[in-house]
Amino acid sequence: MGTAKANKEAKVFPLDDWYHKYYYDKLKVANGCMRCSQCKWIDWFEAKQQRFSRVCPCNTYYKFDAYSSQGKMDLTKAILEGRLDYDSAPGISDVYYKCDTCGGCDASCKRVNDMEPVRLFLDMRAKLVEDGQMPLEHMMVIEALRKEDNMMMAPKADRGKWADGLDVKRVTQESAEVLFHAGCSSSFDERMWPLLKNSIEVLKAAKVDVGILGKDESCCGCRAYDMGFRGEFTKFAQNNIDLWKNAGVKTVVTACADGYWAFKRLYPDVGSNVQVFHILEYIEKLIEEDKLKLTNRVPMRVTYHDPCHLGRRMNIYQPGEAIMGMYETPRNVLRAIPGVELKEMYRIKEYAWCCGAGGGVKEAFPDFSEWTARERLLEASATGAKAMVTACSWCERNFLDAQTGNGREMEIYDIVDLVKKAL
Amino acid sequence: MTILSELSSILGADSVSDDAEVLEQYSRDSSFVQPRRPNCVAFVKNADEVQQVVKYANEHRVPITPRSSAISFYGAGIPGEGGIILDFSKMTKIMEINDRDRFVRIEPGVTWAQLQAELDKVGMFVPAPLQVHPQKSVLTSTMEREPNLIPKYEYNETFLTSEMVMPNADMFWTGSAIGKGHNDGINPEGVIPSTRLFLGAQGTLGVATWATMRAFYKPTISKIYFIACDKIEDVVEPSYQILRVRLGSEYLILNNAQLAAMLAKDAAEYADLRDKLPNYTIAVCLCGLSHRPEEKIAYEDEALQEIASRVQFDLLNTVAAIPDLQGHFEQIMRQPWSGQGTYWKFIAKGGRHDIFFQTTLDKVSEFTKAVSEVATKYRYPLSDMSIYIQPKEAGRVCYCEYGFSCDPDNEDECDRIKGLYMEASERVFNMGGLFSNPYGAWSEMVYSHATAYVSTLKTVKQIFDPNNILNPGKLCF
Amino acid sequence: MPLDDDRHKLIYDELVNILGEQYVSDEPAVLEAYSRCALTMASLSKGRAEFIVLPGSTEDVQKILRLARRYKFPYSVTSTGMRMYTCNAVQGYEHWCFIDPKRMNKLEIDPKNMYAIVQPYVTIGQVMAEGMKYGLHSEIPGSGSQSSVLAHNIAGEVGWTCWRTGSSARNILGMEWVLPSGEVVKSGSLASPNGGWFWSEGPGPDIRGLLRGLVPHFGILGIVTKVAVKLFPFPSPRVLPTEGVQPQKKAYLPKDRFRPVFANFPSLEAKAQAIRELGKAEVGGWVMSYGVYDIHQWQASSREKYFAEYDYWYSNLKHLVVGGAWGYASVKQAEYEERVFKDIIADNGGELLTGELYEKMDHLLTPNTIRDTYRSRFTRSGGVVFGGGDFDSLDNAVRSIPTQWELLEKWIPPLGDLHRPDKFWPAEFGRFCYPEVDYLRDKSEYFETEIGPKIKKELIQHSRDAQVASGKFYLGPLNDIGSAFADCHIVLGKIKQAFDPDNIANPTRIVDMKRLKETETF
Repeated sequence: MGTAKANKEAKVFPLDDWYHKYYYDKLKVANGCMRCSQCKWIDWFEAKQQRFSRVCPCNTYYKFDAYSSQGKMDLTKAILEGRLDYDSAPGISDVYYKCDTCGGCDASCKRVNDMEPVRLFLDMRAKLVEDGQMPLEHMMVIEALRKEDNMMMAPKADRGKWADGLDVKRVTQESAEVLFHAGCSSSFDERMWPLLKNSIEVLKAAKVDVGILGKDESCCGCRAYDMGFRGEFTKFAQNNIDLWKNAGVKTVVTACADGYWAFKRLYPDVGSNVQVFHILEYIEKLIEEDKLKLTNRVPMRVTYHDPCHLGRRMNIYQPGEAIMGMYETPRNVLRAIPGVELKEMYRIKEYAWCCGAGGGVKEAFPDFSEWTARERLLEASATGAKAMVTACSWCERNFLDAQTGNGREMEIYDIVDLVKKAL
Repeated sequence: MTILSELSSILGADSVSDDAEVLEQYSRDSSFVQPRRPNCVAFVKNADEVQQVVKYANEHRVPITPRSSAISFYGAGIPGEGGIILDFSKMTKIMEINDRDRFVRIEPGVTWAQLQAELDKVGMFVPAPLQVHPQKSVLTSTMEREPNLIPKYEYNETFLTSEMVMPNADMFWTGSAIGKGHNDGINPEGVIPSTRLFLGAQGTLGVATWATMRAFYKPTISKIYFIACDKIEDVVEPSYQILRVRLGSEYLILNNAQLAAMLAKDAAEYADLRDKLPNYTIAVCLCGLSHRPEEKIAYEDEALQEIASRVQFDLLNTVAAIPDLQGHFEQIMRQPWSGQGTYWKFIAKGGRHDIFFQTTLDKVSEFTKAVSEVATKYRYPLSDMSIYIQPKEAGRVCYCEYGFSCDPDNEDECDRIKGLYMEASERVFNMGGLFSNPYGAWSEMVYSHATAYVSTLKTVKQIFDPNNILNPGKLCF
Repeated sequence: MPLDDDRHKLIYDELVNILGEQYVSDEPAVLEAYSRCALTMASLSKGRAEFIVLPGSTEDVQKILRLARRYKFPYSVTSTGMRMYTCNAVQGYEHWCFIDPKRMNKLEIDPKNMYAIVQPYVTIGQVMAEGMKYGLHSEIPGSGSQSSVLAHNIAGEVGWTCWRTGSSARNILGMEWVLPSGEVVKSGSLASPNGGWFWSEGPGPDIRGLLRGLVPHFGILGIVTKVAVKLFPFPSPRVLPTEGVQPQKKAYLPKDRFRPVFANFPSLEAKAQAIRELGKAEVGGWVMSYGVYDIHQWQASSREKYFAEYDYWYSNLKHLVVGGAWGYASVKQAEYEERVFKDIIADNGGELLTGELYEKMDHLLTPNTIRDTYRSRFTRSGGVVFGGGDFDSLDNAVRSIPTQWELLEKWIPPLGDLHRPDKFWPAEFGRFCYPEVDYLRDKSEYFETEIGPKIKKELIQHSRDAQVASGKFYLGPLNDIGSAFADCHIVLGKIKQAFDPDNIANPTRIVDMKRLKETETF
C-alpha cells in the first residue's frame, strides 16, 4: 500500500496503483471498505417497498454487523493484519460461514465501491478450511462427497435412478452431441425428477441428440468450492473434465445453476474447454432457431426468482461495467410460453434476494436457510403471482422445504416444467 | 439598599420606576392571568445594562420578568412573583436590514409597525401574525412562535439567532452567532443548546438582547382569491389540495365573526358584516416574485382553477359583495393592524379571549364541533365565536384559534367566558390539540400530562437558572 | 480490554436477561465489525466495544440505559450510515456497550399530513420508497440513501432538497427520547394526550434545542428511539422508472415536471450571486453549488474511469451550479421555473451546459436527488479530509470557502488536488448554505499518524481564529474550541453533567467531561 510520504515524493495521488487500476488483493479490498453500509441494501433506485429493501440475508437474519459484507471486511482486515486469530476470536468461523455467499453485497459494493467482496469471503473460507476452522456439518458433507461423489450424503449408486426407464443415451455407452448434467440436488431428490425428465423431453422434442452420465455422473464441486474446500473442488473438476474428455463430450447442458456456474466460471481454469449451456439458454437458442415450438397455452401468473449462481454470481468483474448475469434468458423463455404472465418481484436480477440454499448454509444452518427462502416466498406472494418459477434445482428444493404447510403455498416450478407444458 | 436604589445606581434614576401607576400598568394584561405588581420597572438601554441588572438580581434572588412588548395578551409578562420588570421599550434599534442574505437584526423593543415601516423602504417584510398589534414587539411575537400567514415554506420559524444574557449574567449567542462578535450569524443551529430551546420559553431561560429573523422580498404583484364555504368541513379538502402543490403565498381561513372583526370599524358594523359574510372564507394569495411575475401568476392561476374545478369550489374576487376586498387583504396580509381606536380583536365587546393550539387540517372539524358544544353549554352565541385556521408548511399542520368576545367590565360575563375558556381548552387538549405555548392556566393543564417533559425542562432550568430568577411561576417553573 | 473479568460477566448476563442471548454479543469477531470508521481519520476511532446489543424496542433501550447507570458502563449508538466516528468505543473506557438498533425498524406514514414515524433503523431509501407511493419524499443527506432517516434528521445538516425543504434540523416533529436516566421524554404533539406525532414545538421551551444544533448530541444525552419526520410533496411517479443493470443503470424522473439545469460560472462570487437570485425568485426543487469533484467522482462507475475522465470533467466544469425546476403544481410551473433559471444564469454570466455534458449530468443527478444511490463513491480514492466552512449565509460561504482552500492546499500532496472545490449546499432558498470543502487523502498509516493530526490541529486553530462555527466541530470535542465560542463546552458540559452525571452516554464525543472536569467545577 502506498503511503502519503511516498505520494509526496512521487507527486501523484493516490500513490498506490491499486486505486488507479483495480486488481484483486485481499488486504486492499478489506481495507477499501468505507463502512458505507450499502452492502446491506438493494440498489436504491430499485427500492419500491420498505419490506423488501434488504439485500443481505445473513445481516437481516443474524443482525449483528459482523454478519454483513462490511463486518466481514473488518474481520478480514483484522485477521490479515494479525490483530485477531482463532484463539482470541473463536467466532471467526461462525461469521464467515453464516453467509449464503449469494453476492447481494457484491453487487452493491461493485456499484459504489469498486470491489468484489464475495471473492474475498470465498478466499477467506478457503483459508479457514486450510486452518481446520470449517463447520462440523461441512466436514461431514465433504466426507460424504469424497465417498459418494455427491453433496447430498446419498449413496452414489442412486444417482442415476431418476432416469430409470427414461429413453435417453448414456454417454459412457454411446456418444451424444449434448451431455445433460443432472446435478446432485435433482438426482437424489424425487421432487426434482420431473425437472430432469422434462429437460430431457424438451431437448428431445427439439430433436437434440442428448445423453446423460446417469450413475456415472459426479458432483460439479461448486458447493465444495463455496464452502472453501478448494482441493475437493479441483479434484472433482478434474474428474469431470477427464470423464467428459473420455466420453467425447463437447457440449454440456445443465439445469443446475450451481453446476452451470462451476462449469462456466471455474472449470476453464482447471483445463475444461467444453461448451456449457444452462438448459434455459439452450431452450432459448432452440426457440430462436425455430427448433422448439411452444404452442400450448399455460395460463398462469408467475414470478421469477433469479438464482444467484445464474444471475449476479456469473458476473466476471470488470470495474465500472454492468454486473451482468443470466437475467434475460429465463425471462425470454417465460415470455415465449403462451399464456404465462410474468409479475416481477421487488428484488430481481443483480439485486435479487437469495433462496437461502447456497454457501453451505443449508447444510450447516438450516434455520437460516429456510428463513431466507420464506422471505422470498413472502415477496413472491406479494406480487399476486400464483406460482414462483426459477431456474435452479437448489433454489426450487429450498423453496419447497420452506413452505410452511399453512395451505397458502405458492406453486413452485422450474421454467423447464412450464416449457414442457407448452409443448 | 432597596431594589430601586440598586437599580438606580446601575441604570440611573431616570431608568427605573416604582411609581404605583407604572407598577399597576405592568401588573396585568388582557388575559385571565391573575394580576400582580412588580417591585419596580427597569428600562434598560443595552446588553451591558441587562447583564448588570441580571447579575444583581441573581445575586439577590430577585425575580426578573422581561417585557419587550407594550402589548400582551397571554399573561407571560405579568410578574408572577413580583420583582423587577425588565422593560425593553428603549431598546428599539433596528441594527441591520440585510437585503442580500434576507434577514434583520433587531433589539427586543422594536415593534411590528416600526420594523415594517423600515422594511417597506427596501421592499421587504418579516412575516407577521394576522393583523398583529402594531406596538407588539417583533422579538416577543417570533420567540413565542405566533403563526404567520405563509404556509408555502416547509419551515415556519421566523426567529433565527440571538444574543442572550443568561440568568448568571453570562453572555451566550444562539445558533451560528455563537462566535463572539459573529453578529451576522443567522443559522439557528450552532452548538447545544440551540436557538430552539429559548423559543416558547417566555423569558424563563435567558433574556434576548438582540435577535435576527427572516425577512422576505415583497411580491411584485399579487392576485387574491376567496373561497366561500358553508361548513368547516368544506375548508379542508381545498386547503389540502392547494397547499400540497405549493400554490400561492399567503393562505388563511377565517369564519365570519373573525373576518367581520378584522374589517369592521365598530361593533355595529361588525354585527352587520358578521351576518352578511359566508360562514367561512378562505383567502389565497398568488404572488409574482422577482422574475417573470406575470408568468408565475399565470401558471398558479391556471393550476388553482384546475383544482377548483376538480374539487368543486368557486374562486371569488370578493365575498358578501364587499368592495375592494382584495385591497383590504393586501393590507391584512403584509402589514400590522393599521386601524384606529379599539384593537380589532376587541371590537365586538371590548375584550376577547382566544384558545389556540396546533392540530392537523383533517381534525379541524371535530375540534370546531367540540369547542362549539362547550360554547353552547356556556350560553355563548356561536355566531360570535371567531375562528381562524392558519395552515402551516404546505398544510402539514395548522394553527387553530377560537375567540370569545366579552365585556371586560362585566364580571359575570367574564367569569362565564373564563369557565368556557378552561373547559373548552381542556376538551381540546384531551382530544390531542397541542398547546405549544402553555400560557397562564394552560401550563397546569399541559404539564400535568407531561411529567418527563417537565422534569427535562426543570433540569435545564436548574442548570441555567438555579435561583429561579427569570420569570418565575411561568410554564412549569 | 477486560473481556473476562467479573464485571464484564455481570454486565453481559444482565444484558442477556434484558434482551435474550441472541441479541447480545461479546464475541471479538462480532465486536470487530463495530470498531472501524473508515471514512475519517482513524485516530478518532480505534476502540472496540465489549458488548454489542440489539434492542428491539424503546423499553429495551430504557432497560439498557438503566443498567448502564447502575453499573456505570459507557454506551453509544449508531444505526446505518457513515458516521461511525461519532459513536464507536474509545480506548481507555472499559465495558463499553455499543447499541445497534437494527431490530428497531418500524415505519409508518401519514400521507395526508405528510410525515413518517420512524425508528432508528429505517433508512432514507426506505422512506423514499414508501413515500413515493403518495407523492412524498424525504431528504437525502450527503451520506446517501442507506443512512438512517432518524439519525440524519437529528444529526445531519442538509440534503439534496434542502434548497426548498430547509436544513434537516427543521424536519423533526414528534419525538421519543430515552434520557440517560432511562426516562422517556416525549415532545411536541406527543406530549398531549391523544396528540400523535404531527408537530414539534414544545410544549413551552423546545427540547429539540438540546438534541441538536449544527453540532448534534450524538447520543451524549441519551438515545432517540422514535421520531416523526417531515415528508415533502413533489410531483413524482409512484415508482422510479429504471433501465439496465448497475453500475450502468439509468433512472428517470419525467421531464415534463422535472427540468434539470446545469451551468458553469466565471467565479465563486458569480455563482453565489446567481444562487441568491434564484432564492429571491423562489424557483427550483433543488439547487446546489458543486465542485467538479462531486460530479466527477459520482459519475465515474469505477476508479479507472475516475482517473481516465479527470481531464474531461475538469476542463468542462467550472464553478458549477446544478439544480432542477420542479413542476409541483403543473407542467407549466416547471416550464416557468426553467425560464427563470435560464434568465438568472445568463444575467450572472453563467453558461448553460448542454449536449453530452448535460446528458451525463442529468442521468447522474436528477434521480439521485431523491434516491442518492452512488454517494459512497466519494470514498473510493482512499478517504476525505472535510474542511467545513461556516454553515451560515451565502456571504459567509463566499468568505469562508477560500480560507479553507488556503488552509488545505499547502498539504497537496499528500492530499489529492481537487482544484479549489467550491461545494456548498444552499438551504431555504439560499438563506443559509453549508460549505463543505473536501480534499482527498491517502488511506495509510503514515497519513493517519503523521499528517492527519497536523491538519486537524490547523483546522481547529482556524475554527478558533476565524470564529467559524462549522463542521470542524466534528473533529473532536468542543473542549478544543469552546473558549472561542462563548465557552460553549462548559455550557454543554453542565447540561451533560445534569442529564448524565456518571458520564456514560458516549462519554468522549462533543464534550470531553474528563478533560473538562480537570479545569471546571461541576
